[in-house]
Amino acid sequence: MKPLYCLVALLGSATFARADSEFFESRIRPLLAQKCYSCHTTSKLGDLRLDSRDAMLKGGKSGPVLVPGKAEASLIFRAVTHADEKLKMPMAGERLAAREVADLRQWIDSGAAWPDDSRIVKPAKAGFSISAEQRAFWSFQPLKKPNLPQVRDGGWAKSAVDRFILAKLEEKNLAPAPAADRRVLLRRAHYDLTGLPPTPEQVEAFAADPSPDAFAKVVDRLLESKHYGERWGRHWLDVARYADGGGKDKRPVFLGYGMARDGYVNTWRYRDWVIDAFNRDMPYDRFVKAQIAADLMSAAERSAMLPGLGFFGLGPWFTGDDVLFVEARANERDDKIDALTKGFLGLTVTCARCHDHKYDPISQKDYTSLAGVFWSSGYHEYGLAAHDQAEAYQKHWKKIKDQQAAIEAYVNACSLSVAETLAGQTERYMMAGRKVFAANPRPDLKQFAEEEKLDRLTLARWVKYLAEPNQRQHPYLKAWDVAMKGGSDDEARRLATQFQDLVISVIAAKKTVLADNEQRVKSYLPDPNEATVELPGDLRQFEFFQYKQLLVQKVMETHKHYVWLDVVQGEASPDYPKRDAIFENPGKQLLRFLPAEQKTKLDQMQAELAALEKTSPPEHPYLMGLADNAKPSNVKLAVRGNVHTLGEEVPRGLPAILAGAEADPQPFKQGSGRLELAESIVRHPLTARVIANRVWLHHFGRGIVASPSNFGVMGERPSHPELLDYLASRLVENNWSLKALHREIMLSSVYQLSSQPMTRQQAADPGNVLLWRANFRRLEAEAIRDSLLFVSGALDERVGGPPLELNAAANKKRTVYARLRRSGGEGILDLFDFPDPTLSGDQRSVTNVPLQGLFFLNSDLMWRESGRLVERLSADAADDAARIHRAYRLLYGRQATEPELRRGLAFLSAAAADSTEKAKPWLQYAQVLLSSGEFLYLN
Amino acid sequence: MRKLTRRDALRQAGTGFGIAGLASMLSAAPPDNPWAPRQPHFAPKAKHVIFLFLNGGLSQIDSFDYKPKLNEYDGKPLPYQMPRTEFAVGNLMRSPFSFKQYGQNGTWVSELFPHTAAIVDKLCIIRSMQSDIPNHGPGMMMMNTGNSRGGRPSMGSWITYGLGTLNQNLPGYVVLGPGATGDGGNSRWSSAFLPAVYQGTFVSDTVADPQKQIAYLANDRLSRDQQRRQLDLLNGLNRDYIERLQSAPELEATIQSMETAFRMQTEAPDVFDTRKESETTIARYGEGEFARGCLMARRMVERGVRMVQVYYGNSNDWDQHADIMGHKVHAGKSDRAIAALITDLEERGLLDETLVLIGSEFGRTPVVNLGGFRSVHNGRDHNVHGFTYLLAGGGVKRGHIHGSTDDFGFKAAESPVHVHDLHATALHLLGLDHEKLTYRYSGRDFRLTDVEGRVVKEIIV
Repeated sequence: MKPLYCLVALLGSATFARADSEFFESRIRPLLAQKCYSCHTTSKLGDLRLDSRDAMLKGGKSGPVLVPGKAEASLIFRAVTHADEKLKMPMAGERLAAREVADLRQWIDSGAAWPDDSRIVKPAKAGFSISAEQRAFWSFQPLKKPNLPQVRDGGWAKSAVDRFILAKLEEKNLAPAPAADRRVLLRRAHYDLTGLPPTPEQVEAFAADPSPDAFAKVVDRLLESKHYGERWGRHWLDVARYADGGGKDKRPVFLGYGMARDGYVNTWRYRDWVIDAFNRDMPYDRFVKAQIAADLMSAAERSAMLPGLGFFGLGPWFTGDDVLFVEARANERDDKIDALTKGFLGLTVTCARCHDHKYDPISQKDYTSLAGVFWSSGYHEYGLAAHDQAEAYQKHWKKIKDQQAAIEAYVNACSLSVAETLAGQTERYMMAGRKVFAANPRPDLKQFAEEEKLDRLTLARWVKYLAEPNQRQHPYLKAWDVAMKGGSDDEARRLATQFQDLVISVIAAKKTVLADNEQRVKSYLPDPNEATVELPGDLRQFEFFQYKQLLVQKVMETHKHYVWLDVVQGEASPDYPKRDAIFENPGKQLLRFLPAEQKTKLDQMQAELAALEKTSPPEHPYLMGLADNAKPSNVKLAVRGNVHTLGEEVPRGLPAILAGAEADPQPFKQGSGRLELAESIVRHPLTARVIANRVWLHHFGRGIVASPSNFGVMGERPSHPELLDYLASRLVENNWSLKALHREIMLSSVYQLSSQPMTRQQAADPGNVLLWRANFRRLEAEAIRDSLLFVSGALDERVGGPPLELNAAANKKRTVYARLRRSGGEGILDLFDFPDPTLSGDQRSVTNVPLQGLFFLNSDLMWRESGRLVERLSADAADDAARIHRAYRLLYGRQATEPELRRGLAFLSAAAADSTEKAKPWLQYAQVLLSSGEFLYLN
Repeated sequence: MRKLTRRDALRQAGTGFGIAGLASMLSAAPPDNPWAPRQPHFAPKAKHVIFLFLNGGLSQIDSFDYKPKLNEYDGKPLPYQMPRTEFAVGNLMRSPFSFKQYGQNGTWVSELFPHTAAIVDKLCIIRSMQSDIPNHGPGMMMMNTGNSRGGRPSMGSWITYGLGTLNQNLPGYVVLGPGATGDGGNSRWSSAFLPAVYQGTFVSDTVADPQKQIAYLANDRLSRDQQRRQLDLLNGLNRDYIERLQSAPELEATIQSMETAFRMQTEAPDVFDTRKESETTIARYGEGEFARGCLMARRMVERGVRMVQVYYGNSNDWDQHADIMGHKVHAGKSDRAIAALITDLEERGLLDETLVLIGSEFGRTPVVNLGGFRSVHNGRDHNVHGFTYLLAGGGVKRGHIHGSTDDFGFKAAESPVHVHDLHATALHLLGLDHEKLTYRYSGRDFRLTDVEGRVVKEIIV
């Protein structure tokens, strides 16, 4: 059999005409690429490849799939026409359209010509190339605004969006659900655009507005709301993996250098810039460009756009223990490539960190070319204050630091001289201790210390120390331990004096060691090996850890150090559990030993510090971003991802598939290349498709592409590809206005559907992929908290500003302004599926666990807002019935029904029987209303 | 916003669990209960995991990996090229602790762990562990998530994702410790891109009063009867709403989880309350938070919690760079509890079905630590090249020693076991194939073991 196939194949390729070739390239290759190649190339599902004629002839588990000249006999044709019950292809996704089937038939019947098989990539180890099939993949195609499909029910399809939706429904003979009622629609629109519910007054006004453009007016009003930016800015912040702080490990921002900052103080300027960009409807292409390269934009735009650089500036910068490691630098770059390509392009380029991408046409070289861009762009702070203001702050700050250091040094010097004095009394204290042990009964220590003219606390510590030989790790008191219980006074005194000499010598030795080490630090020259480790941008200032790691200090002999720890000065470290040494007198304890003049001096110094702190100007604001390094440089390919095994150097540039060129793309020429990168991204059709899909996702609960940050082979295929291209084209046409896109989507019939279940539709499309009804959705964490505060009347609606602690009772601002830490632990956020801000988020999962139930039952937030709601209701309405109605209108946008009213009143009277002062019936009732499904879900 | 629907679950199951998992999810699991118990890929040896984490880095050569050659080479340079460490290091340094032989095989254990030594016949000791980066943060992330950068689901999250849990009134994955802010933070038990239900629930073991341990568990404003009345009203409202909507499975599930939450208020305080144990038992575990954590872990496993992790400290307590003598303090606070936990589990018939893992993010160097501004040079640096883990129960061999380090205890010599291999083995013991337990995220099927991992069959019964 085999030779025959080879012959046929040979004939096939030898005899194809030019027309065949064109037909294949324009109709068949794209068809195979889009419908078959997610499973039948390198993945080889069913052992079958469909990326060459030979492969088709060879076939898979079910045998050959192609019989050239005979479509009806070819398994591939039978599979796509669903001729056999057992083999229907494509397995996931839609059947081929009639035209596609006809093309396939024509191709096979006319001999299945496959031009130039040599162009097909063999998965050879030799190198990476992009096949025509890969280029033909749907998401890389140029944006084309499609014609509107024909539909039967022209009355329902009132907008272009509807035509695309309805055409698919009509294909399956499915009718859409009825339109949502006005109350439901208004609530949906309010949450979608602002994340807050409508007020009862807004509900009534909309219900009473008979004009045909009543809903359009609502949409316009909401798009103008300042809350719009808070809602949609937050959606973007998921993508931007925004957080205010790093916790200990998931930084950014463990910026331990330079200033007295904790690294959190300026993050929010990026967050506010994002919110403002949405509110002002900044064209999305500018929005993208600013986040990649604001610093390189034109002078006219630069300053307004600079905060956008926070997209990368707030990413992780590893400045802690791992600062020395090249892995840290590689991880910083990887984060940026990941956020860039997933966030803007819907591509998973970081899959190519260690090897060529397994599925998408992205090579490890492509990855490395982007790595070079970020390797050449270091962390940079852009000051926002005038130069002299910043300088004044820094000078003042330095004064404070100097004063703090001076006080510390003075206290240390005083402590040491106190220790020296006490060391000279060691023998007296030890002998006194011996007396204490000998006395029966034990003397009162206070009185005894007075008699002996010794310091009471110091004596008490000596007594304890002498009583616990097992706690000591040094051997110097072994003979004394014997002499203390028996032995002569003289012997004891001799041993005590011996120990006194030792303590004095230990203090002297320690002083020498400390002075010596100070010199070592000052004169430390980095090892030549260290110099090769570069730090990104401004982080170059952070050098402390470098020499700390490698500088070898002088130390005391270990046993003598134990004496120092026990007697003179304790140490808090994992090595030694902290306890106060005998001579240690922290804080005010020290004062009792100090002569008057030293006390006065210390008081004076502290007063000066207090004055300095009081007069400190506020810290000058700055933005956390990127800047090009003085000397941009390329990165070498890390063989199998190992940054210690380097391969060829790769010029900075765009991944080949994005450049669209056959040959290797041109390397970037300007600086790091970020501006060229930004411009290429904005031009690429993926960018418009990806954002149009994100907007759709947040309106419908499901994207047209259900994997919003992965438009590659392993991502989902679009449910409505033409609709997606229509929306993306409209976005570009409208100068990238997202508000125009919202308007177009929301004024469609499909947006305004009810969520009513329908039997036949449910059976045909249980996942509602075709959108025959509205999806039932739970509110996100932010919307839950914000709504609680909103209906209780407590919400502080002011926009922007530094982050506030989420759980602080005084924080009444919207949740988007809460301080976010990458280490998590923010209560309601974690509980209700807030995404991990270490990673660029695509869409939130919705989980349902009992811990959420505990939140509704027992959290302070629920109780507090219930209380506020009750106060509000009491002020608004006179009796229980009126208050119940008012509550229903505030929370659910409707009157309570008669049975609901009766049930509420019954609850109140039952609760009255056992209520307490702090848990009045109304509080209990309000808490239930705020926990209900009607409040927490959108329908 | 994306709902984790039954359909998604099945789809994940299709890629992740194979047919067995799929079938069980179809039959047993209520549609929206991601905690429901699920069938593993194959018959498991263990049902639970208890992971005792000695954070900071237990020194193998001062505890369970006796190296007499170090006495001979004390103060002499390492006779081969220095492997990568964190700080500047110096010459070899002998262990200051004395070693004795214990158990039927005469296993050497140091004076730091007399109680654990006494039960050495119940242990399986891996002496050839290896990890990647000699720093706490990355090391902690590697040991817990299989990736030194973090941003990946933790082992406990993978396990509860794969198997669900056996007691619906308690979280399936509980993390105990004196605090959650040590190196690695919450990401040590993060679910990362897995649904958030699979993240570990942190419970402090510093206090004995359970009402203070779990968020929102206690309500001092309302009595149980009052809450019951609230819940009845809430259920009524929700059922009415479902009726008006005609169908809302999500809300049905919410009604269920509210009821579970209500029950949890009673069950959770009971399981966390070690004060309910006999004085003898409490005394057996010893004093302090780690001992309390170990005892709480046993109580939880007894009641069906899938995985419990107990962190020794909230900082790198075992991190003796300056002075290895500090190990004495920490061993003193953990040795008794380790031995008590294993013995207690065995006496209650739980050891066979519970895999106990004991160890750190890495071990320590046989050479002395010099860098890092130390007050003395009597400690050891971080060592990822060879270190020791103790295992017990859950289908691992008893009285068994696997692998070895070189003469100085620095690098794994025979049968190295990388962290990925340990993870693969732990999953295997639970009946999970580490190559099949996958989750599709961002275009890729992720695994706990990334693209590595070998089941260490040699240690399995």
